[in-house]
This record gives sequence, C-alpha cells and structure tokens, in this order.
Amino acid sequence: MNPFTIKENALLDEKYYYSKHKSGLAVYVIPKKLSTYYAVFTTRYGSVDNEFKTQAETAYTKVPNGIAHFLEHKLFENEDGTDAFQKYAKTGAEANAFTSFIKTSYLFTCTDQFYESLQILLETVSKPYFTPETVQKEQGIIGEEIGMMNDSPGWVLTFNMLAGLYKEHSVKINIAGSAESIAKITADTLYQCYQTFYHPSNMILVLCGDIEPDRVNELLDQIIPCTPAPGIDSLYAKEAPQAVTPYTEAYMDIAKPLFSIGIKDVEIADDPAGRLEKIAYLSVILEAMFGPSSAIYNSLYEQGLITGGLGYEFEHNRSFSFIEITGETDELDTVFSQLKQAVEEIKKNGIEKEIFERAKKVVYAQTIKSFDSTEEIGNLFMANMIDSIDAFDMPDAIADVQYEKAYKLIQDMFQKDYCTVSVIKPRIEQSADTPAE
Amino acid sequence: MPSVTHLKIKEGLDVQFIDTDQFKTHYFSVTFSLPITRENAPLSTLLPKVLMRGCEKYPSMNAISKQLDDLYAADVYPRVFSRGETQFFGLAASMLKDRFAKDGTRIEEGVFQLFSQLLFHPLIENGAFKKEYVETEKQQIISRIRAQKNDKRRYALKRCEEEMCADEAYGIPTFGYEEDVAKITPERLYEFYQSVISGMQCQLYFIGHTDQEHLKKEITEVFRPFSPAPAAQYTCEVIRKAGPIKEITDVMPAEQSKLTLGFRTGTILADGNWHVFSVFMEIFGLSPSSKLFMNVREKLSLCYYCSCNAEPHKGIMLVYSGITAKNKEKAQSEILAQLSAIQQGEITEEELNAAKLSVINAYRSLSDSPVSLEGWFTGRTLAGLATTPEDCIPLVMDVTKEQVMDVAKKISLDTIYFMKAEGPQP
Repeated sequence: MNPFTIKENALLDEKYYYSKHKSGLAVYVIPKKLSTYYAVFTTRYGSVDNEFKTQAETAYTKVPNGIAHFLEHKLFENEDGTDAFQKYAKTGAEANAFTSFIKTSYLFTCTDQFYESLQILLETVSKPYFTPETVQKEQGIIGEEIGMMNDSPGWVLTFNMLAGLYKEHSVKINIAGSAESIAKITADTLYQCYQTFYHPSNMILVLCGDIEPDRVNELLDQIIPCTPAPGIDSLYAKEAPQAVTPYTEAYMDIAKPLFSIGIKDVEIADDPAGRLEKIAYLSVILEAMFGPSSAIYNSLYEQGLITGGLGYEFEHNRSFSFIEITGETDELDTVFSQLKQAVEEIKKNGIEKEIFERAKKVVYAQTIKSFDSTEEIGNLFMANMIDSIDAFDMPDAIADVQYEKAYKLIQDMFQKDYCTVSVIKPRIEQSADTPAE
Repeated sequence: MPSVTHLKIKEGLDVQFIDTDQFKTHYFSVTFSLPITRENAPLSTLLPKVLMRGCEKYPSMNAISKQLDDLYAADVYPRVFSRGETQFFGLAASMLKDRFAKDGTRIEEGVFQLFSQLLFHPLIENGAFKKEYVETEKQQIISRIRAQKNDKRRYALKRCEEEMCADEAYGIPTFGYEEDVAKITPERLYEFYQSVISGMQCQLYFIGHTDQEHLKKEITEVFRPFSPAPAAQYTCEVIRKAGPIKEITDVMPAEQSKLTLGFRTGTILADGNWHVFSVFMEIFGLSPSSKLFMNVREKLSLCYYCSCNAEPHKGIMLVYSGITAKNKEKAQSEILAQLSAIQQGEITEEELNAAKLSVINAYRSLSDSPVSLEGWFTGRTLAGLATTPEDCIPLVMDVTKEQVMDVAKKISLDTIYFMKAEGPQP
C-alpha cells in the first residue's frame, strides 16, 4: 500500500509525494533524476524556543541560551563512542547540520547508497546519547565557534540590530548562546529538550533525488518510534510594534562602516495561507524598493556611496517577522537620509507601476530558478514546510500580489518607530584611509 | 555524466557545449585569460565591472538591470579569478529557459544580444571609457580589497599565501594592489580593452539544452568583432620543495586567533596523479572523519574547524584553524603529527575507503552544477589534461595506501602564519 499522495505543479514542472507517517512525521519526496540526492531532517526547534512546556506539564521550563544548537552538535555522537560522521564515511555521503531561529536541520548529500545514508540520518537523529563528559568536551568546541562568530562583522551587525528591535522576544539571542550560557547546559536539560522537540510529530523529512517513496516508508517503519505526541507549548514574548532603540553602534576591526536597518513587523497571520501571502508581498515590495533596478539602489551606487550594492532580506514566520536592509558606506548620514527620503517618496506616491510589475517578474523568475538542484529544492521546501507553507504555492502567490494592497502594506510597515539602525564602525578610525597590508 | 562538445566558432575560438536537460536554466560564460602580472591583475578585475556599467544600447547600470529583469531575472555578472599564475576574467550568465517565460520573451536570444552589447559596444567617450564609471568601479575594487580583513578566516589564508609566495607571480593578489588600481586611467583601461578584443585567449561555455546549430549561429554573430589569440600553454612556477620555514605573526584585534600552515605539495595537477592527492586530502583534513577533524577538534577540543585546501596548479596546500592564542603550539604540533602519521603509513583500510568514497562523491556531484562543471574543465585544460570526472573515478578506486604515503612524503612545510588575536581594544 502506498501511503503517499502526489501534488503536481505544471508551471514549475515538478511534483512531490507527501505522507504523514504513523509516528506523526511529515514526509516529502521530490523526485528528480539528477546525480545527487539530498535529505534533510528538521525539527521545529531553534534558538527562539528557550521557554516551553509539554501538555502534561504545568509550569514552563526556561533553558540556557544556545541549547538547541548545542543539542545539534551532540546528536552526532553515538553510545559506542563513534560519531555519525564515521558512519557516513562508509557510504560516501557528505553530512552536516545547522541550527537557526526556528529550526534545527540534519542533512546529507550523496550520489550513491542513498538509502544506507538515509538510515544513518534517521538513526542519528532518533537516538540521543550524552554524558556529562561528552557535554563538557563540546563546550570547548562550541566556545571556539562562538569566538569565531563574535569576530564576524555581519553576524554581530545583525544581532545588534535584532537587540535594537526586540525587547523580549528570544529572536534577539545569539543562536549559539554565549560562553556563560553554554556552561550551564547539562546532559539532563539536553534530554529534556530532546524529548520535547524531537518527537516525530514536530519534525519533517524532505528528500530530493531519484528516490522510491515506498523504500523510504519501509525505513521509517523500522526506525522511527511511534509514541504519543508531547503537545508542545513554546513561549514567545509578545512584542509591541515599536523598536527598542533607534540606533546602536559598535566597533570592530573592519575597513569601512557597515549598517543594518531593521524593521519590526508584528502583524503575523495565524494561518499559513496568510503568511504565504505576506511572504509573496514582502518579496515583491523589497525587490521593487531596494533591488538592483530600484531608483535608490542605482542612485547610491552611482554616487559611489555604497560598496557592492544594497542588501535586503526578511524573515516571516509564525513566531516573528522583520525586514533587514544592509550596506557598507563611509557616508552613513548621507546614505540614511537618502534612503529615508526614498521610502518617504514611495509612501507618498507609491511605487511606479512599471517597477512594481518588473519586481513581480523578477521574484517569479527567482522562485523558478531555485528549483534547479536537489539541495536547493530540498532546502526551499523544508524552510517553507517547517512553517506549514507549501513552496509549490509560491509562484501563484507572487502572481496574486496586487498593487493597491502592496502600497497599503508599505505605508503600514515603514514607520519610523518600527525601525532600528545598527552600525559597526572601524575600531581604529584612520584604518579606512590607510592601504590594506 | 554529460560530455563536452567543442563547437568551432572561428579559428582559435570554440564553444564548450555541455548538452544537459536537467536544469531549468542555461549557463553561458565568456572568459578571457592571460598570465598574472602586477599590471594585468587590476586591469582584468576592473574591465568586466566597467563593461557592466553601460553600453551603447543600455548606457547606465539601471538600464542594464531593467533589461535583465525583462529577461526574467537573467543574471549577468562580471567575474575575475586566478588559477595557478593565470588570471581569468569576463562575464557569465545564468538565465531561465524560454519555456518559463509567461509572455513568450526569448530569453536566450536576449541574453546573447546583451552580451554582444556589453562586450563589443561599450560606452565610449572621447576615445576612452566613461570617466565616472571607471572611477566609481575603481573605488568599489579598492573598498573590496580593504574589506578583505573583515573576514578573518579568509584573510588569514590570503596573508599566508602572500607571505609564502612573496617572490612569485602567484603572490600577486587577484584584484591587484590598491595603489595599482588607483593609477588606472579611463584611457589605459580602454587600451587594455582593445588588446582583449583584438587578440586574447578566450573560452566560452554553454551548459544547457538547446539547438546546436542555432547556438553556433548566435554565438558566431556575437563574436564577429573578436579576434582570438592562438592557443598558448600558460606557465606556472612550481616550487616542489620548501626552503627554510618562514614564520610570520600578525597581531589583530579579534577574539579568535587563526593558525594557517602553508605547504608545498610536491604534486600538481599536470603530473597526472592529482586524484591520489585528493584521496590524501580527504584522509588528512577535508572531511569530518579526517585526521585533523577527529584529532584537533574532536579529541583535543582545540577548535571548531581545522581543515585544508590545495591549489593544484601551483602546488600549495593550506591547513587552517581558528583557535585560542595560547593553544597555538599544541594545535600546530598536532597538525604536523597527523601529517607525519600519514607519511609513516598510519592509514587504516577504513580511512582509505572512506576517502575514496568522498572523492568519488565529489566528482559525481559536479554534473549537478554548471559552475562546478565549468570549473573542472577550466582547470583540466589549464593543466593540459582532457580527463572528465567520470574518467577519474576508476583511478580513484585503485589508489593504494603506498601511493597516498608517497604523495604525503613529498609535502613540505613552507610558512607558518599566525594571526594572533589580542582581545577587543577600545
């Protein structure tokens, strides 16, 4: 019996198989006849989930910052003292894992022995094993990882921006935590987090490549245990729309000042369809306002005010939503005032119709382009599905973006009070004027 | 694994056509090449960037961007990179196939027309490139050169190579030196452009699925004004054995220190046994089951990363790790101990097999990425080889422990570069 249902998208020229495994695990198989296979196993558990309870519990547990990421490191270890990498070494797969705000993912790519590698992936994530000794050993490694991130200007810039934007919400906490917070992590708290968030009903498995869904199902039956779902209640602070502070600055050993402008958005729909719609609108609006064809991008570049162009990004999910605009400049004040003027102008008169239509076309094309490798497809699918959004619905959602509604959204979102600016300046002021060694 | 067909455009100019229907996009690139010198490096970095600023039909960056948007977000970008002591520069494009254009736009044709404009109809004022464009792009490059120190991990690698190859052409940075960038005039750049289109080696790649004859016709039309140079084999100064070990320490205001060890590999791609070296690298430091990962990170908890990479034309390998300053000697001696272990033959059957599988996996994965495929063949051509990834797989299978020991024994330590972090200073 094939438990999978099939969904097709003619425009994308792709299809996928979906099944809810009896353990509660949601499984997506996107068939692609390429050389590579990609598998990603993800839990809805990231750095923002630091206060939670299960249905059976009455009180919320607060755990040390950085524990989701710590747990990701530790799941690679096995009871027999080996680690998952050694197992993957026997199949030739390239394995990795990452933790972000709202998810933790375990993945591999391979060109052969896919089902053997999938078995390793499923077993690795399903069988936790930690002792006080192995926890302590990891503190040294993660301590170095934190040190590395603290030296990364882009990372520091964004987290300073988030701290300027959010008062309470845990999105502002560094994903890996700090040396102090990870020192408080114990084997017991790791087990507690694992038991809560790694239940199959809180996870998804996304596979892309030349794959037989039935064989996947057999492996799931063998490996994934069926136990009652814990019913998770993760506590996220409610935020007012206003930013905490308009401006933050820090100094690092860099060449030229870097800036990140954050815009907080607290209007988040409860239903995934509403979030999909907002993602489509944000993609089009930001491309039209700040993309390479926008007036402000070209004007700042042609005046020689910014290096490499403007960058923009957004995060929009059930827990939080923000926009980030980044750049590098020696003329912070001039750039800020021109950006502000450009936004005011658009709020007053709207985006030019032609630019708006062009942005829709660009976002549509980029979406199709992102369906071109097993890894990209798998990640795109996973990142959307983890928030209950179907990536196949994206092209239509983009086509449905309406001018008037987009204009209204711009007026609502781009409010001075919702913004914060994070700046990093060169530590030694004259360094920008002396030649690099 | 797709194969390469050479379509002859004119004497000295072929399109390397890789016919594959697996992508939603086509990839097209035009890449000129010349030996790297202090003068060539900044000129070849600047030229493609200035060409992307304006042409006769699309005289501004905004006009070009809009045209690209109309071609369904076709991505045309300037690029420069070096392999060994050869500098490569030009334009590359990734575009959706025509069938995804909802309004019937002919994307492929449009991109070729744009290439024709950008390459052969640049915006010229008074016999030179437009001054403003040249000046802003010079500033962009200078900013990029200066900003390299923002990324301490990469910067440490660059500094190590620079010190190691201070007296070799390889030591010249790909973007050139800041003072040389600053000196370029719009006239000098235009002179360089003339030399490029009237006689320089050029390689073209088209990866996708399209009608061969039509493709040939379109590209022939674009390249009508171009005169290629006769093919020449580029040279690269290869130092097989390191002299006395150089030790360099830079002090940087940062939290984490970076240790980078520069080695002469003694083996290069053109030797024909690079696949053995690739197996060695997997065992030594490339994979998470390698000796460096298992010992420097997992056993001693000294770092988050400790890995290696190699330049197969020049014959250089860098081993790099981010550590706490006080652990420098410990990390360095462990890295050297692991190299010596391989030289002594401390390689298990398991390690050897795992390494082979990893290398084969990497070779097989190449065909899923147009840029990786192009990179493979560019490197092989430069080394005078014609082997495909597929050809190399049986060779990898046959690699023996003794062969790995032999390549390992040829490796010699040249430079120890230490970027010492001295806490945040006010």
